[in-house]
Amino acid sequence: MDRDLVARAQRGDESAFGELVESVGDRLYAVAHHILRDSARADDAAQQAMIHVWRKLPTLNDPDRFLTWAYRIVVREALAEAASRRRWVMRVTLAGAERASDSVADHQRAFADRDELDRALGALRADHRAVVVLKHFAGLSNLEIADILGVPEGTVRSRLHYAMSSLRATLDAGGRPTASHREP
Amino acid sequence: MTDDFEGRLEEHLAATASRMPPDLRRSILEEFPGHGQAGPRPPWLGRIGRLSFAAGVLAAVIVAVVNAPLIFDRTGLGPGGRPSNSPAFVWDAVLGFREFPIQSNPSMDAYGNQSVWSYLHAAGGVHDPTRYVRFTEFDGGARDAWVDAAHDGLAVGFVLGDDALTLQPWGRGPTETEAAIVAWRDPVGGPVAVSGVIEVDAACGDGIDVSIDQGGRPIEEFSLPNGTRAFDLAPEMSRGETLYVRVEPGSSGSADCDTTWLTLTVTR
Repeated sequence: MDRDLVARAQRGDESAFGELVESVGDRLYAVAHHILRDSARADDAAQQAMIHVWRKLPTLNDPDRFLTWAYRIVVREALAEAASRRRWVMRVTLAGAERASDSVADHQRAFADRDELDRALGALRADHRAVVVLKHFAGLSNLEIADILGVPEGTVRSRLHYAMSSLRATLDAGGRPTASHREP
Repeated sequence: MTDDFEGRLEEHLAATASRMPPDLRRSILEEFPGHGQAGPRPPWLGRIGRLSFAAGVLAAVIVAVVNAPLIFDRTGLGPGGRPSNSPAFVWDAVLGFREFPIQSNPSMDAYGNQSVWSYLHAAGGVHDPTRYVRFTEFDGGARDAWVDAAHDGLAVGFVLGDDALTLQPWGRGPTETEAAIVAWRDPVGGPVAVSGVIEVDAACGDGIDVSIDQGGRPIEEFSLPNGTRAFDLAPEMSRGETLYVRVEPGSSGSADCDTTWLTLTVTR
């Protein structure tokens, strides 16, 4: 991340802020979308996050930490969105894809695998999904995730362990989430 | 070390990552006229921001109109001086928490009473408010929390994503702990209903010790190993008396997984 660009945006340079949006917008949006799994809600979370980024940018002490800091804001907005309007999202499953047999063509099997993994992710609680996304999509360390979520590193480790165990268990069960892992 | 499953997961997350939709990107960028795609736009608030602002103003007007008799008539009687069936006052710890840049500790309530909510910490001193210390540092970067540089992680603030406050106690062994405390000072006096929920990690850690005190007297006290516990109390308060919700690490003194979610509502 360009430190000067962040510093200029911090001083109120709207053009610099626009460049920041261009630079990190996709990554931030993808994190929101992975957590919320709903485009309209991800739109709301991302837009609110960018407003907060702009409003709070002057409080950022170290411009080098901009991306982690921005992740923190977008995750917060995404989790707030998840908590405020929890609802079931209709999930489209591919007919016949749930139990791929050896006779299924490779591309169909890959599609079915993706569908199962997707449903397993959808069965996680939003805050556990956030840890998985920050770790395995954003590539952040446990310490950075702890900073983003405002929880101790041990809590991140436990959530990650719990989430990964749940994902494996759901996949082992053929992609059927257990009741305890469903969002209310 | 990355195993096959983690590799597959990372591949999946990368392959299914959504890009920011062009119209959303355009909408965000257009809020900042210095950027290339500027047009004659209203102020920086975006479409959602403007709608939220308008809804907020409308809600504030409605709340002000509905509550005006109560705000100005602290007797607890309804409009026209007649007793009302609905609660005269409701204090909500989450709604009462003031975010950056208007944070304050102590802070006023929604009725304009000063020093109603306080955010404190304490080393020991269970049931002894004279040993409680008010937080003075605020992290307003993104999480909005009262923190203490001397105790890394100790905090009272907003939890990410839930309609609850976060209380994060601190601990480095059984004899070295720091409790996180939310305090409500009664600006009126009389009987109140105190209700809420305390939640701590469902599986991890050795839990927390919770104490709800009326001044220095415990009215509810329990250890919460894991999970959730609701409370519903009905103390008789004096004007100016304070109620404390205090959370500290379990018996081991370790604060691992002790992030606690608290909802607290006081109704009169």
